[in-house]
Amino acid sequence: MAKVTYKLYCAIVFTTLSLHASANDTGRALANACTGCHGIDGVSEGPSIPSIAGLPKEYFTEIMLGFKLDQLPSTVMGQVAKAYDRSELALLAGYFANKPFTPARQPFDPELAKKGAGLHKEFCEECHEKGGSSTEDDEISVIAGQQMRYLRWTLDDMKRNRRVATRKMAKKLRKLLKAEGNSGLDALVHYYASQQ
Amino acid sequence: MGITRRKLLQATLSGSAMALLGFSTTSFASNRRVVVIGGGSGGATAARYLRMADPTIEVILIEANATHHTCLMSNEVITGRRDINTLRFNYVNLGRLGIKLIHDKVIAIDPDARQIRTQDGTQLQYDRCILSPGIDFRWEQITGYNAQIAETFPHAWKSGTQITTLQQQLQAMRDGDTCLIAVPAAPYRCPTAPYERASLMAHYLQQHKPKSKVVILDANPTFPNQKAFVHAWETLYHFAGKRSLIERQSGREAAVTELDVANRTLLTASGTRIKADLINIIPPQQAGEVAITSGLADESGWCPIDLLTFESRLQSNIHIIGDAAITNGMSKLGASANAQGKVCAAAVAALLNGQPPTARPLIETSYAIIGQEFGISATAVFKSSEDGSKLDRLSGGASAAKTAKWQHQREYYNAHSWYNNITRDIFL
Repeated sequence: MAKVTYKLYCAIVFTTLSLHASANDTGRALANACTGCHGIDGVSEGPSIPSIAGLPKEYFTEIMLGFKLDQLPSTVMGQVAKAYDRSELALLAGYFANKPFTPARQPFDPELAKKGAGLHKEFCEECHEKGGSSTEDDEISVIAGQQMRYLRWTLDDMKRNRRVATRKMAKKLRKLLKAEGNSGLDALVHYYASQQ
Repeated sequence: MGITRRKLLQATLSGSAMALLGFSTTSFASNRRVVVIGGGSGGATAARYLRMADPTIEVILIEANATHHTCLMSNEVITGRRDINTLRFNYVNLGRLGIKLIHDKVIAIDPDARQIRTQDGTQLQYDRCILSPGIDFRWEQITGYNAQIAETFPHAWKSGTQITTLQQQLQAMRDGDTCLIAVPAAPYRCPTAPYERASLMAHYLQQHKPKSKVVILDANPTFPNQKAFVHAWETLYHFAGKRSLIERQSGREAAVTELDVANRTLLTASGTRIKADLINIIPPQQAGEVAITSGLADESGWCPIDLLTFESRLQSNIHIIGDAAITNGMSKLGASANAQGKVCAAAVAALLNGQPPTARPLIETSYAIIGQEFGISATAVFKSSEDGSKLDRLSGGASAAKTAKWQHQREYYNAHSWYNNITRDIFL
């Protein structure tokens, strides 16, 4: 009896492992097509295309669906995303979520970054925890160490309603803009860029 | 029995070839060998991704040169926006990944013997060969033009020294001089690059020689992403207006048939003679030389392939990727070669392991830089049908012609990001 259970256990483990391996293989087969633009393993050199390694699964999927449905501005992603169905997007999301997020090596202004650190604490830290480096929440992207230009564009898009922000995000952004204007946004992205 | 003897013979031959080359025979545990010919966007990518797909397969990359200058971004060098050294890559990192590098020129491929012969006399056996030979020019189609004359009347279509020559000639132009770009009938390498070149030349002239202009003599009635180009030219360079910095004559009658070197004059198919101070002829093209001499091209001058595996339809065990291949709908771009290198590597690994190759997405992306902080793009995603007979286009399109300044700015910065990332994906 114990032997049978052990065999069953082995069978289950083996099946799970091989299923996992084949999902990962399929994920990689799909992901290989992305790295030409997004960098090896999804780590971008910049100066503007974002790194996609280490992005939370939910967030990745939501963004891809946004591109697919023409709800997000893009250069080529609006077209590229349309080639993938939901199950393929899930495989891609899983593949890149398993890659470590690598902060970009990019120049930043230390003075602005200092100011940005204060603004982050006041307006952003509540959701974007640990200075924006947290990966705890599956719906919230890593922003510390992301390409600076990309972050600035994303904030611009939210500010101009070209990209839908959550109610909370929209509210915080309005408050920040009211207090600091665009220079507040600059300071924030320099702070995120400073985390390398 | 026959197979065993053949394999044994092969192993012996390969072993001695490797010993001749100074490779350790102890690292020669694998008896499956893939030889990749050509270290450009396609070949270097294929070698790298094959190594990653299955490290037990021996991968040898044969490339004539120790360094590679990308064609990508070379229009920025021509127009003084970028240093030529930023286009230069070497193969050191590919070597570190365990790819064996041979810097030599392939003279012939014998598909029956599965053997490659190089200029230095090396003979190599392969189980499968991946050929990424790029393009060759059909000099005979333009009377008076040849490889030697191209040193002073540069095509600048294979990067390297001719890029610098063309840059110097552009710089030497006097204000009021005319610069001419002759575009061959499609298909040819990088079908939007002539128009990007014209755009960036116009940008340079606007800054430094505002009385000058660029004339495009175009053998094609239309060209890819034309709407976006034309709109950008109207916005930035007074296109079609009185002070236009760019002029375009198009159609079969605008095809260049002859170069008169002494008078710096081009003759077109319609019989018109056009004189210019700077002449940049992009000659008609075909698959790279070794593909032609090895019987891998059809009467079109390009190589028919199975689109699932990239294996030649004319010879078995040879896979062809990049500009040389006929890929029904996919453009001849560095980005396409990069995408194809990955899918081909996966197919070759599968075939060598007795597994069925699977269809995988191929993304082609082409950014063009039109001026300072001004770019456009086009993209498409393809996937082979299960039988390898065609590529299905799953999605794709060009950037909207009439679009806001902030969007053109994003295209511009993404173009540079893309270059930084794709060159790492190929060489590093």
